[in-house]
Parts: sequence; structure tokens; C-alpha cells
Amino acid sequence: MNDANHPNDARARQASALGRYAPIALRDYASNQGAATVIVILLIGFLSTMPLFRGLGGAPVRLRQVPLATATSILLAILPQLVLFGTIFATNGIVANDRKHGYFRFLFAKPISPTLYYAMTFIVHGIGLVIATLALMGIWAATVRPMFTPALVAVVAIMYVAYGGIGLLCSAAFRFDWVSLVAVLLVANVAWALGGNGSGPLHWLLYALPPVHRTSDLYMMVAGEGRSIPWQSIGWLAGYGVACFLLAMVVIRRRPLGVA
Amino acid sequence: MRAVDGFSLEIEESEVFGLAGPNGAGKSTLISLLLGYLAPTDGSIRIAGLRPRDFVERHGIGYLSELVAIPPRWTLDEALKRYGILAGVPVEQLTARIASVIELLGLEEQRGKRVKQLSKGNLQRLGLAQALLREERVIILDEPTHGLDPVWTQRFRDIVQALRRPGRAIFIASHNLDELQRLADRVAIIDHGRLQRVVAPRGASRSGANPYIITVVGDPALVLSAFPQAHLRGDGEYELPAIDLAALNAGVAVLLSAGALVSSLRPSHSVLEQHFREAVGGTGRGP
Repeated sequence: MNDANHPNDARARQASALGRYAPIALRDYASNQGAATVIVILLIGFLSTMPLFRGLGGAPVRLRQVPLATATSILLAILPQLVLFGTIFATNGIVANDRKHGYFRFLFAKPISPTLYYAMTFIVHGIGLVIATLALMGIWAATVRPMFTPALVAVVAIMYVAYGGIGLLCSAAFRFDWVSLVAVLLVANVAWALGGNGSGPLHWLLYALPPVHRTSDLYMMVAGEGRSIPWQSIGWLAGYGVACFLLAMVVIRRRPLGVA
Repeated sequence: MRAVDGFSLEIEESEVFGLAGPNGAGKSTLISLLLGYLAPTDGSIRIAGLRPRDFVERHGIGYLSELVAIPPRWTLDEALKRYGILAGVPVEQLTARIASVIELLGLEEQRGKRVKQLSKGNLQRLGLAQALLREERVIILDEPTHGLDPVWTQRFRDIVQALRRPGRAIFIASHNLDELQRLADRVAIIDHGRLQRVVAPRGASRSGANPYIITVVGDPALVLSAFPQAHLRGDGEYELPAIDLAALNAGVAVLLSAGALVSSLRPSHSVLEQHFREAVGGTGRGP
């Protein structure tokens, strides 16, 4: 019998089981959310670069020969969409679907902690999004301009932690998780845009919302040109995401999986 | 409103324990509590001294739910591999273990099929297969023969009998009283979330205090002299109210010695069914 009589034995066995399951979860991501992310961003990229190749704004540009400034400018326009769609796809239903469809019933009759399982899934989906980003960069290099921007990968990873943490929390707490995530980001963007320069007690309420006003600092890392790394913005965004992730773990632990 | 209330019960190791109750009686809620999917608002549940969730996360439970919910795109083989990995079946044993449960449940021809392509019966068998991937100390089966044909219903009973072993508790919730009568050492009857009674169906059966149906070819007056409380149902068929084995045999002996012919004699319903009727009454909800 595979019993673990000591909690440490149980944790070690869970870690081993989840480690074995992680490649399967990554394959699931690749065939579902990863594929969807690549397709959507390819479409956005195609629509963004097509006018250049057709010469709608001047002389047509040949494949792989888009000027650096233009390529960077388009990349900066696509990046927020990659972050948004990539994170929505990666966290949509991550917990809520198992609840909604009842898949949790067999999953968590196994000697597995739901918090560890969903933490593993969240991390694997983040890795999957980075791999999808690298694939998109390869396509970009092959079609628009041969360039490799490591900062872009870093920005996607940090923004996955930031937005993904919120997405995971929404999925743990609500049934309509992606709608909740979009609503939170919409409210945060509007609130920071309208009240970001204000003062007084209401201004401090903004700090309860995601620090979306700091995302442009991160996105500008992709522009390079000797810009310094915006550690403070990275700290705010990643910190907010990690806080949401930890809160999601508490919700997963506390909120009953079943319904009476 | 409480789905389960005033419920106190102890299930022994090595026991097959049944749970019967009408629709909405609280069976599924009780199972969710046992698996830690719900937390009790009051009182406590312990499995081998641990809270349910702690027990499950440390040891696992072989669980078959009433509604088998498995992602439809997974193939049967893949589903068992995934559940086996999460159950902690060692790498070197996984393939053999999957093959073993597939053979046990007769699913060889379904291995490559996606879950969405499986019939209700095959899906139910897959649900049972995943519950048996590991040698669990606790097995919980919720309506296990739901959707199975008669052949597999019987086969399932054989499988459960084979699962009996010292140190293992098997918990079966079922609408099928006959199934519980055959399999369970004890059966709890619940209604409106409350424990009504606990019955040892086979033990009670041996005591013989059951109602019977007897069919006699002969004078009705003779039957009434042998069984004064018998009710004529028609065509020589009489219903005998609850009667113990000694009184039953004495009455039959009277009939035979008087020259009557007994063409059939059977319990009018099982011991468990009798208890169920008494405990639940005419709720009209059925077991």
C-alpha cells in the first residue's frame, strides 16, 4: 500500500506525482490555450504588419526587412495584446472549469492537495506562455525582421505573474473567471487613468486595484535603447500578482469544492 | 436548511457499509463530506483519526461518483494514466496496473476511445477502474451500478466482493436495495438528512422476521387456519405479515399435512426493503 503516514512523506509523494504530471499539463496547455494564443497573436500580428508589406503607407516593405524602429513600434503595439490574451487563455477556467464540470471529484480523491495541483498548473501554464512567446518571436524573426528581444520574454513572464495571479484568483473565487479578470483590468485601467494624478483618501483606494498604470514602464523595456530596468514597477506588478496568487491558494483551500 | 443533520455513525475497518435513502435524502452530501469536498458546519468527521481532506491528501480514497465527470477529449487509456500518476502509482507499475483494471472491467476494446465516445455503461466502468488504480484503504462508491447492464451489475458485485479485505472499508451509496442487501454488512437508511436506522441486512434475514408471499393450491380456509393473519391477493396467492422462520415452517407443515400444495413461497420484499419502508414511509420519492 502506498500510504504516507507522515505529512512530510505525503508532501514528498505529492510533489513527485505533480512533477510527473507537469509534462502532461504542459501538453494540455500547448494543444489548447497555447495554440489559441499563437493563433490570435498571429492574426493580430498579420493585421498589424500587412499594411507595411502591401505598401499602404508608402513603398512596400519586403519580408524580413522591416526597419528596426518600425518593427519595434509594431512589437510594442502587439505586446499588450499578447500579455492580455495569453494570460486570459492561460488562466481561464483553470479552477472554475473543474468545479463547473465536476472534474475535481476524481482528481482530488487522489492523494493530491488542490492548492499544490493548481499552483503546479499555474506555473506550467506560465512556462507554456513563455514557450508560445518564443515561438511567436521565431515567426516574427522569420517574417518581419530577424531580431531577438529577450526583454520581451521577461515582460511576458512578469505580466503573466501580475495578470495571471489575478486570473487565478478570479477562477478560484468565481464561475465566470475570464469575464471577472477583464472587468477587474478594465476598472483598474479606467480608475488609474481618471484618478491616477489625484490625491486624498480616494486616491489611496486605487492602490487596491491592479497597478496597471505601471505596465507601460515594463512594455518600454522592449524598446531597449539603454533604458534602465524599472525595478519599482516590476516589484509592484509582480508583487500584486503574487499577493493574488497567495490569496487564490487560500480561496482554493477554504472554498468547498462541492455543493450541498 | 441543513442537507445532513443529527448524523452520528462509525464505520469499521474491513466493513462493507451501505447507505440507502430516497432522492434528496442527503447521500451525496454525506459523501462530499467524507471526501472533504464540503466541510461540516457543525460536528466533525474523522477517517482513521484524520480530517477527511487530510486523510485524502495523505492516503487517497478510491472514489466512484454518481455522475462520472472526466474531460471528454481524454482517451480511456490516457484518463487512467493521468489518474494513476496523480494517485501516486509508481512509474514502473503504472502500465501493468492500468492493464489490470482494464481487464478487470472488460474495457480492452475501449482503450483508444475518447471519453465522449463511451456508452453510459462503459463510462461507469471507467469510473470504477480509476477508483481501483491503487490499493486504497477506503473505497467510496456512489451509485456504482448506475447505467450498468445486468451482466455488469452482477460482475460489479463480484468485484466488490473481491475487494473485501482486512483493513479496508468500502462505502456504497445506492438506490438499489437489493444490491445493498447482497453486498453490505450494515446499511444506514437516511431521510431528510437524518440517520433513520442502521440495519445488518443479512443478519436480520437469518432471523426470518420477514413478510412472505405464499401460493397454495387448496382450500382457502386451510390456509387461514395455518396462517391466521394471511391476506388473499388472488389466484391462491396470500400475503403473510412479518413472521419468523419457525412460525413460517410450522404453518407450511400444517398445510402440507392437510393435503394442500404449496406452489411458491418467497419473501414479499427484502429485509432491507422492509426497513426502508418503515424508516422512510410513503414519501413517494422511492429509494
